[in-house]
Amino acid sequence: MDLWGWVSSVEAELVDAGEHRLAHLMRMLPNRCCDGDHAFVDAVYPEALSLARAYGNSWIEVFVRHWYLQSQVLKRGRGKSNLSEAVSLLEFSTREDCRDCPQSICAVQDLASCYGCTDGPGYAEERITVAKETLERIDPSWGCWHCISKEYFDALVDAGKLPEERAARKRLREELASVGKEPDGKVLLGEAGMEMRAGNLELAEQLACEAQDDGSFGEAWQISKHITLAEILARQARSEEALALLPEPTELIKSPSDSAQWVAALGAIIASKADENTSDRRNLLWALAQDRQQEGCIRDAISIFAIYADLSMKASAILCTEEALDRIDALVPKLARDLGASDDQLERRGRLARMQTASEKSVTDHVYLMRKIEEGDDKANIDELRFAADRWPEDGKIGAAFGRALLMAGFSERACDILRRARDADINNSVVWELYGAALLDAGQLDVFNREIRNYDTSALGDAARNGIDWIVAMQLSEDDLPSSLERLDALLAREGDTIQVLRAIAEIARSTEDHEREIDCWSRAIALESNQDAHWNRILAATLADDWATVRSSACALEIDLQTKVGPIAEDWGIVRVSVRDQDGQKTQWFARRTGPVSATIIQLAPPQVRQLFGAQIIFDPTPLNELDQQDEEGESCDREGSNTYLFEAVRIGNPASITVFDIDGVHPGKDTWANLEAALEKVSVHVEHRSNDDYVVWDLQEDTGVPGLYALVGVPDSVELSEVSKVLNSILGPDAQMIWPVLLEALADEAGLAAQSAVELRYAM
Amino acid sequence: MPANDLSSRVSELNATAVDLDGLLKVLGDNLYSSPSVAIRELIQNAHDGCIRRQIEDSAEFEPEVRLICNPNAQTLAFEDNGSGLTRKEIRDFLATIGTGYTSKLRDCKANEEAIGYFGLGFLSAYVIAETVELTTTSYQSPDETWRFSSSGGRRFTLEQTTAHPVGTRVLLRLKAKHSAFASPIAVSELVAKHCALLPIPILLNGIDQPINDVTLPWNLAADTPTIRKNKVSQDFAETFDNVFSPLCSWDLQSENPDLQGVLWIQDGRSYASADLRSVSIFVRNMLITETCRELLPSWAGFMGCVINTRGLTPTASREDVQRDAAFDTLRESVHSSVLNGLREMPRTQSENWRRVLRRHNEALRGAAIADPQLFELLKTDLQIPTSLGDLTLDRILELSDGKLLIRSDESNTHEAMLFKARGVPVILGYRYATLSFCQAYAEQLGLQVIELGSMAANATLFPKSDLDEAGRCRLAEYLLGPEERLVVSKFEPSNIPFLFVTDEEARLKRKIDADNADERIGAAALSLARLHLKDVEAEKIRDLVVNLNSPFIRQLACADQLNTRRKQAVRAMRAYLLTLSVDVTEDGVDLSAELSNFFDSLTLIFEDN
Repeated sequence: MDLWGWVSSVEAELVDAGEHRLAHLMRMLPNRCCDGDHAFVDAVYPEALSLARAYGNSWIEVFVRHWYLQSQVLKRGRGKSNLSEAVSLLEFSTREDCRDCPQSICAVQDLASCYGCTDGPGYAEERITVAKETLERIDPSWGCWHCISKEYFDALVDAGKLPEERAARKRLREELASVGKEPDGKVLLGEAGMEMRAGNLELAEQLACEAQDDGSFGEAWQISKHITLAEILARQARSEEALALLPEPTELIKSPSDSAQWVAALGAIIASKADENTSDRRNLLWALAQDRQQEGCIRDAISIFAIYADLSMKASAILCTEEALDRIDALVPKLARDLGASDDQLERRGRLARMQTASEKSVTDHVYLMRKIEEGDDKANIDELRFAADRWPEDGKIGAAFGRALLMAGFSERACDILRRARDADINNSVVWELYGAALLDAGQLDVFNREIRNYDTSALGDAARNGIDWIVAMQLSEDDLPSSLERLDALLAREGDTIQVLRAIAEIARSTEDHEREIDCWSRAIALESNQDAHWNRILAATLADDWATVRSSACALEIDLQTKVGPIAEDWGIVRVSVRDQDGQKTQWFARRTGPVSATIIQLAPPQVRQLFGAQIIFDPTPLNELDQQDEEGESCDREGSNTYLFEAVRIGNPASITVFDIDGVHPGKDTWANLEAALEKVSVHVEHRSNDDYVVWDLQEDTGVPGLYALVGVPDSVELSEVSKVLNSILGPDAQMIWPVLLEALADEAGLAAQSAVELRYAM
Repeated sequence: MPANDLSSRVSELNATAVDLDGLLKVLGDNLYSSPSVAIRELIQNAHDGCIRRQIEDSAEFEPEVRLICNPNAQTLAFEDNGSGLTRKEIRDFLATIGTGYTSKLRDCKANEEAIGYFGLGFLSAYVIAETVELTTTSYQSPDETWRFSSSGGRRFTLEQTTAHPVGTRVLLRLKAKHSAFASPIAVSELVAKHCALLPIPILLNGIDQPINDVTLPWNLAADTPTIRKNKVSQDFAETFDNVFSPLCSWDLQSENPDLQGVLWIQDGRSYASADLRSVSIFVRNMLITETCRELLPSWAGFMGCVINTRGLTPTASREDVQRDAAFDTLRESVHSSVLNGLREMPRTQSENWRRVLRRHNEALRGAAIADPQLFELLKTDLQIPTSLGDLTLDRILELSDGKLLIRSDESNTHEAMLFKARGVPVILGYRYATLSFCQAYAEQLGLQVIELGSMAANATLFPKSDLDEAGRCRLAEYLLGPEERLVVSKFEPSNIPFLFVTDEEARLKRKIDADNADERIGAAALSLARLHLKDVEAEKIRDLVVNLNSPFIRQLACADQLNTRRKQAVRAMRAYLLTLSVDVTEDGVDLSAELSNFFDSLTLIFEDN
């Protein structure tokens, strides 16, 4: 079955049917999947599936779903979370209308891979049976022959059936030869892996080097190739070459399912190059193992944790080893079949126990250790802290330092245990309480947090402990329960008096809840503790929101802002600014405004008809400008990097806009004098005119077939002015022959005759 | 060595002859994708001649290249005041295929300015010209001027001619099919782009203004105001984007002094993953390729860049660059510059940033999920398609009580009805890059994502409520169909009395467990599928979720008996809501039968009245 021939023809069919987007996505999905661009696959898959279903071609649906699973399962190892989809695709692809689809057979591979990702060796026998069964239904002429064969070989390797793998690979070569095909790069790379496992390293290297991309394998395959070759070289103790070849860990994002092999290659490199066994590298392995664990790749996670444990033992990092072995303990029961995993674990436990006995440390210098802790020595050895915490369990500082170190190392579960113990031993230590709370949140133990921190009976505790509890609880509650958070902060404030940190936290909540009086109070108290510009500007903002002009003036004075008036609302002319306003759809627009005070402005820009009007709205803005006027324009004026001469501020509150009617005027420029007269006449009756076009604006005279200077303007008429008066002004100044139109105004006046007259102008100038 | 072996080797050596016609055909048809490459090659030769003279000749001179197009005579001439060639050099470099002076120049003098590589450049003239006439005076022998003339390149004449100033003139008598190259407009457009970076002025038909008179952004003084730099770089970018004008641009940031470039965002509105990347790569100031899109990140379909470097190696045709380690390094530099430029923009170019968001909202969603740093930058600014129009995530959360409700397909389900009635936005997860963007946002902020259609979502949307056993039995009796499970819940709006929710897993299990499944699915694959579904309960295929907030349901739960008219009303309602709620093609619902139920019931109610 010629899969790609079908893809090509169906693409042509789609283009012919006007379904360009679906055709494009069909082409891109396999390409990007093979290149490891999984973000792209994720981005387009729901759209492609939806389009395929709407088009009604079930073969295309099979194709789209299969390539999504290739990205999810084969490349990223997300077998567990995609099992239902894989089963569903299998069912769908075997229906009557899909069974001839050249891609349908691949659904079997998707399903088998799901199990392979979860526990390759554990499901090896089932996978072997499935692959064999499928291979019997197809031949090498099928596009999916290679993929199913690969699944078969992988399953044989996972089952430890290496002679069978060799025989099967030999058969594959024969079958390829029988249809006149040469083994391609994928075949050669697979053989290289086989020879590596058999210890034929030179042959393995040769095969891996010969394996070349035929142009369709993609970047993910290149990564696999480099990992295989690196491992082959490492096994030959050519660690420098291997290290140079091993892809950067960031590259694994293209093919996360290669993580275990990448780690195996790194392990082989470190085996002959001990100085590469750094804590940074081990941290990386830990992150990879966690990632595999989260994706449900149990066997891979175990193998990476095991290598991590081995390397940690080599580096005498006992606690790290324990953590890894604990993780393995939790994972082994989740395997489909044990297949020696428990025995391996026992062996590692034995080695660890011998190490623990051999390296029993006696930390006797308490003073020295405490100095290290107090100086914030990050390099304090985590094992040293552990032994110290065992030796001086009542010492909260040591417990806290140990707990913090565990938290930093990512061992949050163990940090919880240690900090709980430290808390119990030193119940009035506020730092321990805070750390314990942070560790519980980090470990996702919200129930325990609520029980042991939030709802803890504090009646027997000292103030320090209560402060620690209130602070961490307030921080946790600030995410979704502001009143309760505030309650905690108030309690804290009442107990320990004003501190900048707590006052700031309360002020932030008060701003969110629009409790301006409270916010002003917080900033005032913060200023009393430490007067600084930031606090004064914050207070000005809060006070402006609350119309508390006396406070605004007080902080303005502190900031040496010279106000023209001494009392009452501030409504001065501070020049033009721009304000960024969030629209109802959440997007931001910018408006010109006249700044009337430190954090206030009035919008002076009209919006075209049919668009949300903000003209005349009073704005209160955050005083931190969003731009810097750190450039100079051609006239030597200060401007920002876009050439704007005005500051831009983020609007915090938007008042009601003026009640106005806006219409536009468009057409042939009536001449500078006439236009100036019109502007003056309209301004005289409080009508706002905004000349929007520039000197380049030209309208095209279809009658004369030539461009003539044009003018476009917006006009805002307050409700206090009659529209008919405005119409009269326009007619009288522009005259009956004016080649300009203002249909919105005429429609508002129901002036049918005027509209008819202007429609001729509109047509002539194609406006 | 046996004598016969030796003779065979000698004869082998002698047998290697050049089929020049064939070679030219290869050049014209295969090596070069476009005959216009000949123009580039000949300008390059002229340029290299000037560079050579600058290096080798102590005499002062102002290098320049002049092009003369003559449409009437169908000729195109290239003149330079460079080094010129001696008689020997003409024989060595023009009459011997595959050799060129430039590479020697670069090797011997460590000169990096010369562009040529393969000595095939001059030969390309024959791709477009019937005859090539070269008149040259070398600075080494300024009193001797030589004229080389050849038709088709196979034979040539070489004669001394009247004295000319130092330099070279190549006159092409164009083939009829390439007569367009005698047009000043065509040549000007071609040269303006291909030779924009050449430092030597190129003059066309005697006009004083060089056609490659472009201010290069990277040549501006360090203290040039940013606003001026922006303008220059935007004008520069405008020359190179074939599709759109640039909306904004920035310089490539690199510590490598041999690497310069400009990046820009296109002004035209982009659509989703549409790929309109515009990439121009110059090597040593000469345009090599405009098709190497992969230099920009794959998600940057709305961007363009011009790169000038010494580090890349052109391919044999010099129409592309080799994908080697240097290319990978350059690509990394460009990616990093793209990200830095985008990150800077909200702070330094707020208005442009606003425009970028408007024009490329969809494409940026895709970009954000490909790059965590971009995601941070964009997560609150981008709009998401919803059932209530495009909204930012903050706005969606305001309207939907802090939850993200997402639909993954366009089918008309109960959720569509429910949320439309509530006025709550439902995110259209089947649109480009929407689902993964929302998932990433929710994960980061610990928000609840409800993917409509899943059983987990249904459990959240329809939390179970208490109802006494008698009420439960009545509702089951009046409403429940075969293979349906009664779920008692309370939800808004109250005017929706009940809904049907399909249990997808149960539906799948039934299909996999069906008697005929083994006829179409292999036994081993089937057993793997069944292994996954072994714990799924499939006795009921659908939930009927009743809404206790509905007055109708509360009445029904208390009604001991229903008269015929009420039974018909309930039947009609059930049929109506069933067809609205479920996928009739997948759920085994007989649409025709349900519609009959609906209309027959209405008819009976009508008759009863």
